[in-house]
Amino acid sequence: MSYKPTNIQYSNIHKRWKRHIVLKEVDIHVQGGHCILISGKNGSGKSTLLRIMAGLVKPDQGTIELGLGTLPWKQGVKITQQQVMYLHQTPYLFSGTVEKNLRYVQAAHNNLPIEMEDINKAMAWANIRHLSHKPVHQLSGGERQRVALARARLRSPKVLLLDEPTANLDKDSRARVMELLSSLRKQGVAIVIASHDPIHFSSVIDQRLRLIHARLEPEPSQPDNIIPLHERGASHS
Amino acid sequence: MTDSSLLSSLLDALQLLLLGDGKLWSIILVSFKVSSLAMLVAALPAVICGFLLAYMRFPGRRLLISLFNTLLAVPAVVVGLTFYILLSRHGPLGDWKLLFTQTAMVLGQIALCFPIMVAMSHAAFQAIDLRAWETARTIGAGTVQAFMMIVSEARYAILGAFVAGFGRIIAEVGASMMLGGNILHYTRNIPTAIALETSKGELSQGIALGIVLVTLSFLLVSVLHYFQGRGQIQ
Ligand SMILES: Nc1ncnc2c1ncn2[C@@H]1O[C@H](COP(=O)(O)OP(=O)(O)OP(=O)(O)O)[C@@H](O)[C@H]1O
Ligand SMILES: [Mg+2]
Repeated sequence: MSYKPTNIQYSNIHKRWKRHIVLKEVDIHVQGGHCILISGKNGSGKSTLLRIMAGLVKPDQGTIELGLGTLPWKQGVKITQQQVMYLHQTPYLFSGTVEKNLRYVQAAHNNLPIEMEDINKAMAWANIRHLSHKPVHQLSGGERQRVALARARLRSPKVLLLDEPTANLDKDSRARVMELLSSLRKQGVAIVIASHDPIHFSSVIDQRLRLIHARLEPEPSQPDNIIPLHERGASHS
Repeated sequence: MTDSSLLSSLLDALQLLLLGDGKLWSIILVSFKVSSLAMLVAALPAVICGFLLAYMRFPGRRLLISLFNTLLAVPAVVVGLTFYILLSRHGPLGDWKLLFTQTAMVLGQIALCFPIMVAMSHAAFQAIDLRAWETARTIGAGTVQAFMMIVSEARYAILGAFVAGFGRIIAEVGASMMLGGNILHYTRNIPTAIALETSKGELSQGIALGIVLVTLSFLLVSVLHYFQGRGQIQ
């Protein structure tokens, strides 16, 4: 199997909810091994943009370019959908145990066999192995987030879209998320993170964008010393 | 009627049930055969309809929802009457020659249990977060697989819908009487037999069948409660 780096250009995305324009002429280019951070205030449209890119929400306008020329949205998204994984702001876990949730990834992914060994590895990595037989409704917010991350690691998509991935996490878990992100980035996964709290991600970010007045703009560069020292320490461990 | 004759009818009824009276059991068998067939045909399409109504957005969706909610309140006799007109010799489907057959009864019972199962599975799916569907899709499940995952999330409520659907048809008289014609060993089921035997004064037969129905209803309600309880724990 020949390796082809991911390269998707989403262009001219428009989205309105009723009369409220959320996204206007938004262009975004995702590339394997490249990590983008989208910041913006509450309600600025970050989640909406990621959900559109994941094929979960239909934009009013937009095209997708995949190196085969420009495709209309409907056609393009059919192809990208299989490569893109979206992590909800608050993850949904299926009723049952943690392990069952990871097995679901295996079942859904039956053209690419995942062994029990991989499930165990993913659980150990996300530090949820001790929870493997626990029913998910008993988990804490941070634990649920870690299950969702283990699921993402198992799925190993070409493009990973994360919606506020560290909102519920303590420092240790946050450091672990950074580890995941930088290892995925090294493996050539394209990453897009939406967060109004962009400071935690500095160690993995290649490009910073900002949603403001429904438009996606480059973030004006900021001095490095804004990042608190202890956070930098955590993100490199 | 005196107390002693009622008591003796009751004893006769128990005797009929316990000794396995052939006529009685053939009636019970017809009931279960017809209603199970109707359930077998209606269950999956009803769940799919409930799913589409809960998760898809298309024009006419709201109208369909109120239509099913209206249909589930239509009396069984009216459903019977409708199919009677359709299937009668000079009706639009008269050529099928289905009136007074088990097939006609199955058709009527499908029409009776389908709306209630659609309405209840629609409610069952609505109780499941839309993120469940999105998550299924985003971990790589295809449409059918994602559907199965959502069904599994709503399994207790959906089983509840099946129980309610079965409960609606196993004990109804109107449609069975009009479409089946109450022919012994063929279309006579529990409710039509009770109506007939009682009107002939054969109380013990009626009571025996009544005991079967009451026991069955009790079981169904218990099962329904059990599933509803399980659903809430999740
Ligand atoms: N399904 C929907 N129907 C109607 N309006 C919606 C819907 N989803 C989002 N919106 C609106 O679109 C706007 C953008 O929402 P979105 O969730 O994308 O913001 P966000 O940047 O992710 O915010 P936050 O930081 O709070 O997560 C909001 O005003 C929201 O009310
Ligand atoms: Mg959001």
